[in-house]
Amino acid sequence: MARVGVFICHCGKNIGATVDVEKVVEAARSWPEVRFAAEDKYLCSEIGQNMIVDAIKNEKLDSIVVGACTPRMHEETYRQCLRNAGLNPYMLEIANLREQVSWVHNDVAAATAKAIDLVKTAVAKAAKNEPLTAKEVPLTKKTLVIGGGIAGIQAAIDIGNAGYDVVLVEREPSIGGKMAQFDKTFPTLDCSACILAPRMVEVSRSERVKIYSYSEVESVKGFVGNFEVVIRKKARFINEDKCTGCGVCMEKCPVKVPSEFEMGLGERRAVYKPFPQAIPNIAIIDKENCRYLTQGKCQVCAKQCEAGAVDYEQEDELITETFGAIIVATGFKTFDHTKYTEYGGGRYRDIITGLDFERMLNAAGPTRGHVVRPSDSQEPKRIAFIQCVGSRDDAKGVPYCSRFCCMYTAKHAMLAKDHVPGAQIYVFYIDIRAAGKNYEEFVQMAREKYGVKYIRGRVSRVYEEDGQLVLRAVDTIIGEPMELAVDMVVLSVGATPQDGAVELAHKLGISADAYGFYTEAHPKLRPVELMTDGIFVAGACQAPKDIPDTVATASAAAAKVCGLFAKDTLLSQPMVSFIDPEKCIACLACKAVCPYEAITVETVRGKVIAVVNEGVCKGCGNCTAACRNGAAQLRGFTDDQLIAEVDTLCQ
Amino acid sequence: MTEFAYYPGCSLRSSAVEYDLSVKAVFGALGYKLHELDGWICCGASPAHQVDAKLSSNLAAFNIMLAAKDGLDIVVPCAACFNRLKTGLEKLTKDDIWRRQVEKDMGFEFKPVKVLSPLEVIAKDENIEKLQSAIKKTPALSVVPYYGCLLVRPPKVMQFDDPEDPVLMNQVLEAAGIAVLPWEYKTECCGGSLSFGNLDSTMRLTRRILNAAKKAGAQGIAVACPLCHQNMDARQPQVNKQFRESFNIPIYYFTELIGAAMGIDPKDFGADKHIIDALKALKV
Repeated sequence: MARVGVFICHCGKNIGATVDVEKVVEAARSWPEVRFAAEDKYLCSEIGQNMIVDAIKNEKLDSIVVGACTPRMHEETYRQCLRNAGLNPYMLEIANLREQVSWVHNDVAAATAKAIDLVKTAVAKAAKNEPLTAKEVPLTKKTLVIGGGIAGIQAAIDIGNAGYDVVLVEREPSIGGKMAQFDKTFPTLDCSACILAPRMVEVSRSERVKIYSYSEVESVKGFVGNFEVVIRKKARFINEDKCTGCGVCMEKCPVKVPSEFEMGLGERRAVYKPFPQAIPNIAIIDKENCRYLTQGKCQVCAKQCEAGAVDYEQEDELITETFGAIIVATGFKTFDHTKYTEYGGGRYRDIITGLDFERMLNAAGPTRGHVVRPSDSQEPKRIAFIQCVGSRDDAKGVPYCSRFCCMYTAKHAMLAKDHVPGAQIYVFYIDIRAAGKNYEEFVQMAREKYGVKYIRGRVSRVYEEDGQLVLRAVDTIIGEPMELAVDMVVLSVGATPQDGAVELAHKLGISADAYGFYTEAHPKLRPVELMTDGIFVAGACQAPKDIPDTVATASAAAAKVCGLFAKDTLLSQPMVSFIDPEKCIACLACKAVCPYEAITVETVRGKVIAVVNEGVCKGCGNCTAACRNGAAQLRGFTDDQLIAEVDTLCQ
Repeated sequence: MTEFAYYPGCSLRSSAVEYDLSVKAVFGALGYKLHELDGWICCGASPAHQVDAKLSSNLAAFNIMLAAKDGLDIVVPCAACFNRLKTGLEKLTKDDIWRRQVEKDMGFEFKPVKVLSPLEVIAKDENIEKLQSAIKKTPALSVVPYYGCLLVRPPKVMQFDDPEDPVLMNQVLEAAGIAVLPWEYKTECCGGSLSFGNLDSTMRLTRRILNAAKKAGAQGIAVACPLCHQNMDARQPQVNKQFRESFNIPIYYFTELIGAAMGIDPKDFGADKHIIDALKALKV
């Protein structure tokens, strides 16, 4: 018979005030399997833990029951106690007397009776528990970083510097992300490209980092330490090894289309580089618009290319690699302002977004750094900025704050004054969020030094009249409605998850919230980890954030990966399925219901049976339910053990 | 469905009789039967809901129940009545306790019916087609479509077209061959019944709309609400006097325009009753 030890925790008043702990211990002592029962005010404390270890040794206990808080808090703590006492750590059963009893009931008598029931059930299971051993799983010390913006770049650099290999996959033809599009960055007004480019060069030169640009993750299988990933390298129709980035093809291409990089305010050719500092510094042919690829005519680029790099026959390539860890750094996109029909819904050319304005301010941008109205290229003397377009707006389904817009608008307002001397600048806001280091001073500089007029009130409508834009708004500080005619309106658009964010989440098996931002493992204490082991998150794809926070989370995720790689093997989770080869008749019902494809068919000693890959099995139990013979059992949750619990509870 | 219950409301019996007659004419031409609700009462319009919410709900519920008894959807031309009845319908549908009280008072069960604007009925695809084939001679005037507030706001209750940029009136008028000009004042408030309590603001607001129509080059304004019509038509001379303007813009219920295009003599639906001459511009 098992020698069970029962330990009940008061958890201060948390459990002790609602459950009569003494009574529970007394009841426990009366059960035949229980050799020792005790209580403690704080079982998780050093004193409490020592008591458990001593009791195990002195009373020669071989199976332990703890009645305390949820196992999600201290299961690992008590497993360690068992290890310290020389016992298998899986000979542990926890009855949740806090979250499931004292925190949800008021009646002491009823709560105590329930606690006794739960502990008795746990004892019945503990009596049937068996020692389990975690297996060592090999670990591939290579990281996949998905996303080549500043977050992905920083993470790749850090992991490379630590001595591990990295593969960086970027969807666009060049790395750089949003920062490549910005003009200046707050609060220092550093030129964005000037601080980004060195990082881009560093990551591209790193011997540890392989960059797959214009590529996407096709599929992901496996688990922490051993992710099998298929990457689709999309066809550029340019031979990467031959292209020198000289740019002659772009000069000669006859097709002009709106440039995505320039937010449609400028053009590019069908063969193009997204921006001059692109890395890799290689051209790409846009197959939707190339005359040869769509109509079979032209081929000017191929004729002009001295390196002979044009390859119209190029096809997508599928590359399979194994990684021990993955960092998701896919970034964000700006809110689609055309949803705001009250601001014209995209009909007015002189109403633009913050990101459009960045390109306009940029000296290398579509207007050569001149702030002009898109409609008539005239300099706007009066510019209005509207904050919270696509943020803090229940009516548009985006109740959250996008965090960086107040700052980038203050920046835009000041730069607009620099670019258009004497301009009148208005900012319509709800609140100003400037919580970072030197951020508040930055906004005050816009108000005091630059004379930007900040008006607290929302704009209910913008429409065009006589070549100007009329804003209907309210000044809540003086309590008056107002109307304002300006030459240009810039909408401070907020952040939304990237296109394809949710699809990627499905591929990786990670969670995303209702908006599509990836869900961190714990909002306070685990901001760069995800619920899935071995996959980490960095940057704005988790939640809107500015550049300092993005870089911080990128380095944090890199540190987590290095921590993971510090060992040579990983311990697998032992509570997985096991199929008894004696009982298995290979009906394969288990294989059909396994969501992780963890079951294979093998011939062992001449008998065809189903076998579980313990490394892939997640212990969900589907196979154990489907198995008609009871051949498939979940270690730590066998039918015998669970029936013992049910029997006890039904007494 | 080829028949509807018909709720004219108070204005369609008096100041907006042209709306009543033209709606009936157009619906008749489209093959619909309109059964005026027997024993309908005032919907309460603006005064009721500002003074007593319960009274306002009661008035709406009474009229809806009349239609529910026959199981017919209700067509409500007046935008204010439409807004009140639709609000009342939402309450009847969602507030179980209230509905049970109403059913007890009325003596029968509420069976869901729809509250519809003639605009959305005419704008249905099959009716657009019928309209296009029923056109005899389109008046050669250009108009701007004025929707006003009550058809589209509050958006969560009315769920009518796009609250910022509605298009149903554009579609039905264009189907009738009328030239519809773009403008920014589709849903700008005219002042509504504030003309009774705060004439000053109403005059200002109405003037802005007339001015915008003039700037757009419109020869007329199409409306779907008796009070908008009253403010812009009946009070147009007043606006001219107060602001030293010289507007001379006829205001038409959109059904009047469609009726004229169908070849109905405008006098038959009361277009000669407008304050600003509406007959001249309708001459084809």
